[in-house]
Amino acid sequence: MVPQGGGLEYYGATNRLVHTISSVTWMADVRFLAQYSMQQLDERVASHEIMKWCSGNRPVTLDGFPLVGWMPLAGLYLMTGTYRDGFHCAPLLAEHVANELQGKSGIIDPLFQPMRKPVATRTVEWSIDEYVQHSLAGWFETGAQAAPQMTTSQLADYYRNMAVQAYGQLGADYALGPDILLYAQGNLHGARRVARYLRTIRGGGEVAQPARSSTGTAGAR
Amino acid sequence: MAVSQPSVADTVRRLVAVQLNLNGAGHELCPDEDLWRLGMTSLTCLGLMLSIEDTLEIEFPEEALQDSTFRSINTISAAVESSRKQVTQIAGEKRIHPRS
Repeated sequence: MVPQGGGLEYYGATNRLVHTISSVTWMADVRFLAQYSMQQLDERVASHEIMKWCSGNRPVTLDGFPLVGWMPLAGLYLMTGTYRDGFHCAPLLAEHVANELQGKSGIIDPLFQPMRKPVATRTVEWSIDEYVQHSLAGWFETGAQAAPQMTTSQLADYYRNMAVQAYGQLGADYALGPDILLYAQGNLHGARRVARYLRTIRGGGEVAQPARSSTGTAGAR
Repeated sequence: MAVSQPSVADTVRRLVAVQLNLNGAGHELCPDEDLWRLGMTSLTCLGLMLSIEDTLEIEFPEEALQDSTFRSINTISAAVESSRKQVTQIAGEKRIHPRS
């Protein structure tokens, strides 16, 4: 929730990775924002008036880091893939890009140049642990119910098994973030994009850019 | 002596048997048998799709990436043939219009 002044508040956002640009607000997104803002932030939200629904897309890269820099094609500069961090990184990125476009030195690390291989920040074991934690958090947040005799440990084992199988089927040895792993194992489009990209980098092939997906968002003011 | 190539259906059958662990199970897979009823999951379907594309060197069109495509050997084989036709058609159009 972001206070916007004048009695306005911004609530958001949803996080659903998709393979095509989408600007649709799903009823599930509406329920998610309405229910959990009341339950987790302020129960008085129930009586707030909705002024506007916003929906759009946030670009995300396979490794979760942005793509910032010149491309091999002369004159083409890329600044994308900021995912959830675009808003608060905007001043820094704007200064960096303005400098580079003027032929001056940038102010951020060249780590994010677009022709890079994916940045590795975790092991596969860590990735699986993260996936399990996020899945369990989602389970409890949404109030999902298991059989009474089922323990949290058994739920964790289920999600761990899913993640291990997904890595096996994808033939992946690059450790993915939990949301990208969910995207890769949750639909055939995602699986193909991720598997092909990982194969390209494993084979030492030319890396055009990290595999991208975008995430639909919805917010209300 | 020329060695005959396995048909698309035979290759698909072999890959399905591997993914669903049917080898050695004594199960004779019928061409129209529902693979989902045989225990295929979204994850095994994912692996099957990738292995078919790799083995047959094809790319399923976007619209084919759905559960119904992978329902049986017949539906998968039809999707493979369809994607091959599309590639041939596109290659033909490029020969006619090389700049497009």
